[in-house]
Amino acid sequence: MINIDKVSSGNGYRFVILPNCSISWRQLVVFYLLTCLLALAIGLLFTFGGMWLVLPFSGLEMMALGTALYLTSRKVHRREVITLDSNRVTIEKGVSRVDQSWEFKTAGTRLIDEKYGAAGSRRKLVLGAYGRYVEIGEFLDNLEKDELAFRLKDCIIRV
Amino acid sequence: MSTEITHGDVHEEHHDHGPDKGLMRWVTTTNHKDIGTLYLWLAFIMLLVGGAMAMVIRLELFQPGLQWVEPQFFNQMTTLHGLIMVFGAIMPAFVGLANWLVPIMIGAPDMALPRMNNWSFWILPFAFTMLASTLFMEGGGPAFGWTFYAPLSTTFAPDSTDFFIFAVHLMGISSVMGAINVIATILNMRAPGMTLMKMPLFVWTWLITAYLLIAVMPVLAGVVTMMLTDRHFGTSFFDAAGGGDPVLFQHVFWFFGHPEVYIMILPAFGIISAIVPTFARKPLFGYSSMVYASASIALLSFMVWAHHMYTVGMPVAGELYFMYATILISVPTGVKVFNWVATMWRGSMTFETPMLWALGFIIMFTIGGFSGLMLGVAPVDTQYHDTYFVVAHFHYVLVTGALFSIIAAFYYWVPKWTGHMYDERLGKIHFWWSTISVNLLFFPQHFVGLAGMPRRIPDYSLQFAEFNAISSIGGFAFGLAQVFFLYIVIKTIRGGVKATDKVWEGATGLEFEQLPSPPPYHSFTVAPQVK
Repeated sequence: MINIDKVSSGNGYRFVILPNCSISWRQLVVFYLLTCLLALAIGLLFTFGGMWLVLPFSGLEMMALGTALYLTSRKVHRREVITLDSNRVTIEKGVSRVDQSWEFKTAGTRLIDEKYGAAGSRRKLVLGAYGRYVEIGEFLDNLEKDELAFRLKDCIIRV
Repeated sequence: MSTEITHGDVHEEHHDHGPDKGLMRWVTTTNHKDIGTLYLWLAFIMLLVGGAMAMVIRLELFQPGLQWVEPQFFNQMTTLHGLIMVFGAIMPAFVGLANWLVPIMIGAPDMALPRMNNWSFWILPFAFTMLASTLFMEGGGPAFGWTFYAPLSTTFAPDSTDFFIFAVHLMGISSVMGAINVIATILNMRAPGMTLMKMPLFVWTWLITAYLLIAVMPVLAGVVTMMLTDRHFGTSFFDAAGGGDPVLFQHVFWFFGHPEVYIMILPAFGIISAIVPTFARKPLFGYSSMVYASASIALLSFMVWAHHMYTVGMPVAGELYFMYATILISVPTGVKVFNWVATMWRGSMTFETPMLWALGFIIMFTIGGFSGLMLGVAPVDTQYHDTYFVVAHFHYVLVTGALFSIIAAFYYWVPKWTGHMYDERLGKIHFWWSTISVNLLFFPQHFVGLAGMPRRIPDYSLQFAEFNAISSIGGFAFGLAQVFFLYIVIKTIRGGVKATDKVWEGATGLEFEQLPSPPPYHSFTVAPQVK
């Protein structure tokens, strides 16, 4: 998914690129908490009946489920932000904060659209300048990559 | 100055590789299709192993008196047959189907946690080897039935029970990892446009099944651990002499055991809901009601466990509650059967092999459901309890229900998986051979059960001889039919008429509409758009 905003200060644009995500973070947390509640209820039911050894297994399992959901949701909740104005192009990647960032001069920026695989079925969009290039929108499908390439090119020309 | 450069085909990337060569492909694979195949083969091997044990049981019961095996060994056979069929055949088969189908049905490239997927499979062969090895240990294998009631499984159990406990733990860990993977995949990795209410019913039923697994597996782990501590660490959870209660064991076991039954049947509902519309050439009648019915069945499955224990001496109010709650389950189950029949109503029906198995499922699972209703009625169950009527009931649910649906799924999706059509004539022979023999096997057990023949005995009164002989003949024939099935499976994998991409005229869903037959090793690397 690609969101494009006009940056309020100056003459720039901001692209926010997100992978496909079929559940929001909030929905996932609600799902997890409800599951924990159910597991806790079952564990406590048996604990009050004297069968307390069910509870630690419930806890272990909920930890495993939580870890699994967190790890998979990190993959789908990552985002890439490309900010460009007449001077600079900034690429930032991360999940809840910026983990990696790159900066280029807009004047020398090149967008490379690489096709490979059977009949060019795979695409790779690379943005950069002077020998430093960064792949962008790795998780987008081909239609979305088309759109991103078109919009980026358009914005680079405008600024 | 900006430039857009379009290169020609440059290079193949890491993602495009096919499977590794040789045995290590299967050991190290993280591909959902490979792991699905491994699960399905393991389930088939376990079906044959558990089936061989059933043959020993039926051989001994062919005539009254003790002919072939010692009673202790007979009890080991009934125990391991049950455990292997439940944990080794039916559950892994459904997990195998989930591995193969869930990602390609929701448009995901793989399962969410592929490495964990590999571990969850590879734990199982070790668990089953450990379980089977108990047969060769001093004192023999577990002989207390698949329900492993205390104190038979604690105070009076052989030393090999510790290996049984460890094996159950391993199976549980595997099931939990599989369930977590299914949940994470379905929640996080659906293709754009694949909303929850657009998911195929197989995916829905598996999501609910995974949730059930998550909810009840700690109970199983807890109960076997308490067995272990009772046996070796001086606790008295289930020992009345130390202030514990053996009946509590039954409560804990069935709190796991009853949802476990639905774990083994809900994915079957999903399979039948995929097959019936295809061969009726009509959309599934009442999709939403099917989803809600599945969820209701899952919810109710937590509230009915004590209907397995009406005879332990619970208060009448308790019996009444569990009786009403049990009978309530027939409502959502009835909704499902009604919807399948309504889907077929005035459809352009054809009767290819998968449809025959699906119809067999609907009719015979309903028979199992009706006998379940009878068993759910507390005053009547007092007479039926622990008789062959119960054996007939749960085999109609698990063999003509769960197993028939798995076989139906094989015939339905194998052309997609392999790119080869199975031999239609052989498939139909397999169906009729299995259907006739399975009814010969299990239907007479209703009669001997009603007449009072207890389950789990190697010898019986002379009055039950004829029906037992018929049952054994049916059993041998059914067993042989599954060896014939093995031949069909191998023949289909090795070759056959090339399947089209859509395979069936009336098939719908991403796997039939957007993937070739067979699908590439890595499918949906680019997410499809779901309308």
